[in-house]
Amino acid sequence: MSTTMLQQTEDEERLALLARARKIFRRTFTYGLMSFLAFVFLFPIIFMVVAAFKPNERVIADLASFQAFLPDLDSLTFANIQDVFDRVPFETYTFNSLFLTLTTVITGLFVNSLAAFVLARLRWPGRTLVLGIIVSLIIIPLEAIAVPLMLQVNEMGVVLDVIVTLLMIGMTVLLWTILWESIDHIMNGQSWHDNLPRPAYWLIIGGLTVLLALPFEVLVYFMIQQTADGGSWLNSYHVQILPFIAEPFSIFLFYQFFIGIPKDFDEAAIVDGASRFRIYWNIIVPISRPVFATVAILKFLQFWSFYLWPLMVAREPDFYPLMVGMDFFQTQAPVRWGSIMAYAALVTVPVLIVFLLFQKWFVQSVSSSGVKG
Amino acid sequence: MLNFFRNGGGDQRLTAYILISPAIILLVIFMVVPFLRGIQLSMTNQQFTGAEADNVGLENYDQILSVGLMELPPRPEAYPDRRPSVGWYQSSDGSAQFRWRTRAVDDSLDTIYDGLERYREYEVSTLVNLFGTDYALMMKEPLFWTSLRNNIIFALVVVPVQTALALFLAILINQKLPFMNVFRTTYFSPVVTAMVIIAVVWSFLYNPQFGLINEMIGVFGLGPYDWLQHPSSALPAIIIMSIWQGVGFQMVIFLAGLQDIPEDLYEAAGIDGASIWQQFRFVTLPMLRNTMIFVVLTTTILSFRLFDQVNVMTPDGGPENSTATMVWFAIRRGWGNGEIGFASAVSVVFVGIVLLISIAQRMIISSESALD
Repeated sequence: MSTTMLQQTEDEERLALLARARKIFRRTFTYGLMSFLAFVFLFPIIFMVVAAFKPNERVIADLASFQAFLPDLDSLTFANIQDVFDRVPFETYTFNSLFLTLTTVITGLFVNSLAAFVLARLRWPGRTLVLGIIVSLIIIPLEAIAVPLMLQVNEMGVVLDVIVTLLMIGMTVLLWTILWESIDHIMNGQSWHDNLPRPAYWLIIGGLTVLLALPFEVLVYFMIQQTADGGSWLNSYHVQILPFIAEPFSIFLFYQFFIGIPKDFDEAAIVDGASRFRIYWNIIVPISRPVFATVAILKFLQFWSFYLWPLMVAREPDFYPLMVGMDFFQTQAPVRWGSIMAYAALVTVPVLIVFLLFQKWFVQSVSSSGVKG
Repeated sequence: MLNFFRNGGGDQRLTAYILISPAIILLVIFMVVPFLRGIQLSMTNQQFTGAEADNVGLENYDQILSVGLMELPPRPEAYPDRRPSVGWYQSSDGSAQFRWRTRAVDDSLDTIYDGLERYREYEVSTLVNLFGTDYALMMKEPLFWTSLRNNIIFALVVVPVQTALALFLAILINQKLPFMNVFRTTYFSPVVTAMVIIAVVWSFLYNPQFGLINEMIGVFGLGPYDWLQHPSSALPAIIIMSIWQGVGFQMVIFLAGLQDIPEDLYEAAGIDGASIWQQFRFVTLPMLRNTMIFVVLTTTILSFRLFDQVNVMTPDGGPENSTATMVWFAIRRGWGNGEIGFASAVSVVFVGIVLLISIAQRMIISSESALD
């Protein structure tokens, strides 16, 4: 009897051992597969960064071995980066890309969220019709209207110039008023300004207001200049910004979020005598940070890599963003792959670092773009 | 000043109209008007610069869409030494070819081959032999059809492969094991690289002489291939890099869908003795239905919008136009050649195709849910 029991425990032990072995094997296999996939997804990026710091000959010479992915500390060089700056106005491209992307994204956040707020939380005749039209506009890709749009911005005419200018001025004034009041409101809670003379206090608030509304002010400046000079919009900054501020999909994302906020929030505020606009700014915007982050990140990724439209409308390097600059640089003789990789790394690595720092937000914004869509 | 908008619980109309007008004005000027104008321009011969445009009716569409099957005269017993402007000849590889240079022989055409003159404006695309008779597939604008074909191939490969791969990756990183977020970050990182930049990096990786990819697949005894330089491998090369860049986006969307599936569904299935595969088939897939629909729909439409990587990696449509796409074709004619009218017609056809696909997909989806 005792022998059979012994036998049984031995069997159990053996089975447990087998199960553990299988588990370990499966784990190893899973991690092995995932590491291989990680290599597949990373190798072009690693290669690009490593090659950016190698002399041209070494880039080619190292290709045949694993050395292609390893930095060569002995011959570490910044010559490629120097070469990029020598041969193209890389700093201009970088400024253009940053400026165009940030201006489009920031002004877009304001314009689109306002539209979504009106659609989701105010009652007015024509609401459902406008909503329907905006949602159906999502299907029209830029590629489909790029050609007629190019003709249109080439011959805008003074009427449209003036309309767009006035619109931008209106948006700027609107933003000024809310910024002025909000900053005043925030600052009034502090005691430090009690000792300040009034004019100095106003100067600070005014300065902050003007600073925060900068993207709109810049557009007003461009548009006034455009209206005064007349003529084609081609080869300018504003032609790369204004057509993309209002965007149906952003409005839709905001709308979906705003419609889910309980109505009681506004009603309490309305009883307190707050204006509709104040409800947008003081109630809706603060609790909608996730959707603002989502739209900001998605738009940033889209406009940072924007290529087709700048290619069509930016006719001089002064207005090239980094993507058009790269297209130009890769064909410019002599073709030095080390330098091209340096250009690519200079554009990619900062964005990758931002991504790593805020990756939770990036991943969240991408997943929330899809789930409800 | 904000009191301007203070109208309490009463009339909200004025506030609404004022606050929504910026978005509407901008959308009308930069989207609705160009879209409608595109339709109007597509019926003209508008040039980017220069003279007044004439109304040409549906001529542009006729040019783009005309297709015909031309019955060819019987092959001659002996091929002529010199290639005729119109007629059979023997190509250098010994095969019989049909030359069609109608512009050169305008008047003599009728007398040479009776009944072919209505194909005067067409070009020969391919020869087909049906039941012993030779036919030529004729098109007025072969490059458009090549572009459409390439878009369709791209979509037919990318949509299923990228969707399946994205789902596979999402399931992998959805396991409750250490370091999963590291892998998630890794697989997602190509998404944050700019397409144009990374396309240039890949065109170096694809380089036939000193490309890393040939070196790497050489380890497994594959290749070397000419990749972007060969008509049969150029589009596959672009497909591979597009999937590499885009799959992380869909993976994250699937991951969100997977995490929404209640855990107890799997537990119940496990108690019922369902295998891993059965759990996937009868729990995961049905629960991911909406996510799947979204992913397939957006990927299909993105496939038809293909332009950036094609224009950067293969200038001029690639070897033998093997990487030409519809958007590339429209941009080349409209922006490159300044043929606004013609390019607008191509754009209208492009929008029509995109609309058709999304309507068709929606109909398939709704008929499927009716079956449920």
